[in-house]
Amino acid sequence: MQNFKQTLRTVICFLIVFSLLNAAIMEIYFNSERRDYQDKNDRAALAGTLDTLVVGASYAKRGIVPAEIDKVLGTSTYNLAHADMTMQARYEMLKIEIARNPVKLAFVEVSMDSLNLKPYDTTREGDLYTLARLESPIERQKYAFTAFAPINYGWLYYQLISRGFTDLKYWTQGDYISDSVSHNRGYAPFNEKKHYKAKLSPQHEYHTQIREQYRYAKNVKYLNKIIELCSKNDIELILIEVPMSEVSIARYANLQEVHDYFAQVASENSIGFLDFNLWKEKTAHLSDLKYHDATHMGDELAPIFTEQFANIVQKYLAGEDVSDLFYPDYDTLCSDRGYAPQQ
Amino acid sequence: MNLLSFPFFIFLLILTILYFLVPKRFQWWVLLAGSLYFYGCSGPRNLIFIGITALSTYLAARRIESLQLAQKAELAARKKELDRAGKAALKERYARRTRRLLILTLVLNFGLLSYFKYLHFVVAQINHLITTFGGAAIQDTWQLIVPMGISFYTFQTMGYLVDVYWKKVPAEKHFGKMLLFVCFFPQVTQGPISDWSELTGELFTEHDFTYHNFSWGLQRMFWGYFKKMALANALGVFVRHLFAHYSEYTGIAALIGAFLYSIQIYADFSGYMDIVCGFCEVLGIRLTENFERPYFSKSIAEYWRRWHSSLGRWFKTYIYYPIAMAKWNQKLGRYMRDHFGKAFGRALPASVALVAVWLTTGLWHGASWGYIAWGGVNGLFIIFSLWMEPIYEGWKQKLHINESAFWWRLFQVVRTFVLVTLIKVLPEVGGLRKGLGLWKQIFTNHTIPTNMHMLVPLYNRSYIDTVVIILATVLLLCCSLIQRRQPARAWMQKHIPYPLRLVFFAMLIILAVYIGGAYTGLTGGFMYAEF
Amino acid sequence: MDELMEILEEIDPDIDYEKETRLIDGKVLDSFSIVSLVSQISETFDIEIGPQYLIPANFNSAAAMWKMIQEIQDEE
Repeated sequence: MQNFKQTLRTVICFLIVFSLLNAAIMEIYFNSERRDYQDKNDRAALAGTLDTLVVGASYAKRGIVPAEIDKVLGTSTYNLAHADMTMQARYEMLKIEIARNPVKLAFVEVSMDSLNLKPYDTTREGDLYTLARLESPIERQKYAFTAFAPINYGWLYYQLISRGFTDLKYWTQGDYISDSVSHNRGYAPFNEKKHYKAKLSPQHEYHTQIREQYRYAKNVKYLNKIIELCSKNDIELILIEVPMSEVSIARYANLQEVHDYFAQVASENSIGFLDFNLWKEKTAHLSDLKYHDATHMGDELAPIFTEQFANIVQKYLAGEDVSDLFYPDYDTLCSDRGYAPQQ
Repeated sequence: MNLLSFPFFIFLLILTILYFLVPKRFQWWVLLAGSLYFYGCSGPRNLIFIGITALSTYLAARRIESLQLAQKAELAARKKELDRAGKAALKERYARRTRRLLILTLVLNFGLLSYFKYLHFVVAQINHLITTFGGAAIQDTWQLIVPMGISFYTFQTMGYLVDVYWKKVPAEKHFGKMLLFVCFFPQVTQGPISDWSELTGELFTEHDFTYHNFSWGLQRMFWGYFKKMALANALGVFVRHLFAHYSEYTGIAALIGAFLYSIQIYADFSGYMDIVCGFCEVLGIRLTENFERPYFSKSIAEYWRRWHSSLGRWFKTYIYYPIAMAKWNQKLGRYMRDHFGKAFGRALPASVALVAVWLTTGLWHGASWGYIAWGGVNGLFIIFSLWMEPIYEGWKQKLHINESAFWWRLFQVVRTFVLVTLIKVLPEVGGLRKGLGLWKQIFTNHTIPTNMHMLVPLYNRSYIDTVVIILATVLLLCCSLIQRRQPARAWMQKHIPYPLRLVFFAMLIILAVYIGGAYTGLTGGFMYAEF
Repeated sequence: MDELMEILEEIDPDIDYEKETRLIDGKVLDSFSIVSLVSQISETFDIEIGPQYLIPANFNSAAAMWKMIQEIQDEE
């Protein structure tokens, strides 16, 4: 009995010490501002002043400049997007900001794989970033247990410890808070000056790739929750697709199917849907050569796009019919621009 | 089952709980069930081979013992009627039968081992011969999946069989106990190779749960995981890079690379031993040690008593002594002594035995000329120093060298470490030719600044990891220095307060995850697990 | 016993065989010495030291060795 009691005592003490040490190392990661998604201080400083929110994945983060929206619409916008942001993360972040801001307008970017990332699998990287954006340990724990399954716990533990140590290293070098958090209201330009060098593929490569189609129930559930959240709080919600490069538009074979799905979601819920891949003037403003890669705009294009985007939104919000600014479907786009028609 | 995985931890936890819950006389049944399960996870097919070894040895040992008892009985019954020659003839008759049975079983089991380990090597050599004479090479398309731990459990079990034959131990009557001895999971993958009396004394006695065993055992396991994951795996990345591009490193840089390999393999193998022995300690079972601060050895012969000592002990007991004490060898020794002096008389029989030991040791480590050469070089050094001993004594006296002086002992340790490192890397670079290539690199181009410059990119690649590696190595060194006088855990208990000890072991785990997590995927499992 | 002591002195004169009781466990005699020791014992006493006798307990001291020699002689 004595042996057992001593063992229990040591095990408990060890677990306490172990947890405290781990928590300390993880806190270094959670409180760092080295990465472009670690913006909780920025958002806290702006709390109470925001009336427009943008949320989505890296296409939104790199492509939408809040300052440009505010110039055109006279609003106070924040770009809540981050790379690989899952639907669940988009919902949670929106909820947090809506709770402390007089939000009237929200844009949810639904490009690429927003509904197709596999929960507890490909979503884990994005959710790891989201953890660092939450303010309190309790919020983080709640999110961690819903966004990650037990099969991810080992990976997650390793990631948090590893990032904690990395930030510790930078801290010892006096570089804990660096300016990689751009303080641009969430917009993070791709300023590596790398440009997408692709040319339009030869004709036989048109429509050869399929965008991932399977929509996971968990992702759809959170999209619906976002719609419900905005409707409950009287927020005008507009789904948007940030435009890809022409090379990508020509390359994919099933963009229409994806478009139709969101168009239906929008009409069923009486919310907006603007697919900027179909924007007629896209090629006039956004040259493929200034894209950072196949799907992300470079830092020169983002302000240009956002300004045009804001103009269109302004018309839309005033009640005008903006559908003539867009192609009706991808077939029309392709025949107009000379890509083989969609199958 | 991978030792670095959650399923394995759960397995250990369940096993430990069951072990201390069941009535003490069933404790070894829990071990047997666990071991069979563990071994089965490596592939159910493998259970067949380990089963063949266990069963054949069990039957052969019992038969040999019954023949020996029959011989004794018959000798006693016919004591009066037989003269010396008659007794000798009777003994010879029985001896023939027991010897035949022994050899049959040895051939079966070592044959299995050789088939799995050496088939490709032998076929390659045969093909060399054939093609030299213009023939068509044999197609070697056999897919061989080597049963886990076959080198270890075969040696351990054959040791038992020979012990029965030599009447050192009685044959085991209970097949379950035999089976547990063969497949006891903590040691089936990488040893240590135990001897029968030692291991069965531990396995089949009753064990109580004590806090001391629990605490010390876990401490040892944590230390083992740290050595393996933070030190060995991290070093492994550097070392593999260096070996793959050895022609880019010269002089001291190449030598330091070789030193890193020495540290890596020591941390890897001894770390594994710590995990395995630490777990057994929790259960109250003592496994034989495999390492005794080998890099502090003062000679190559001593090194081999302190590195992988259970293997060395096996070779000593079953190959070295039998050959050295064989009648023909002893006659040879006496001949040498009478004609060439005492020193020769001592050295020659030992040398003959050593050649056998080292060629087989080399072969045990790997099926390639590199390993055979490695074994040969080790043997050569040992044999050489054996023959040179009287001459060395003379030199030492002339130079008035005080054997127990610190600087002399330090010189011996450093010299041995350098030699051991050079020998050790020979087969590891990737074949004999490459090994010799690395040696050449070490001995050329000694501009030290240029050499040190070559190592800078390795440091820059991951500066925090390099710092942790250096700290871990220093920690390992301190631990070894403490252990010369007492177990490190005892020292810690005396000098480090309880809360700090908790922090220390918690940090070991955290660092093991942090450093090792990045590298475990790259290096895979433990190095000696290929055996 | 005297013959045994003579052999031992020849193997290594620096060891005090009257007092030493850990010749093997204390690594005082190494395996090379043991080989020549066994060879000499078997020659001098005309016995065969089988492998089962090669255990530390039998060689840790001169007294233990003497006991083993007598045991083997009795058996034959």
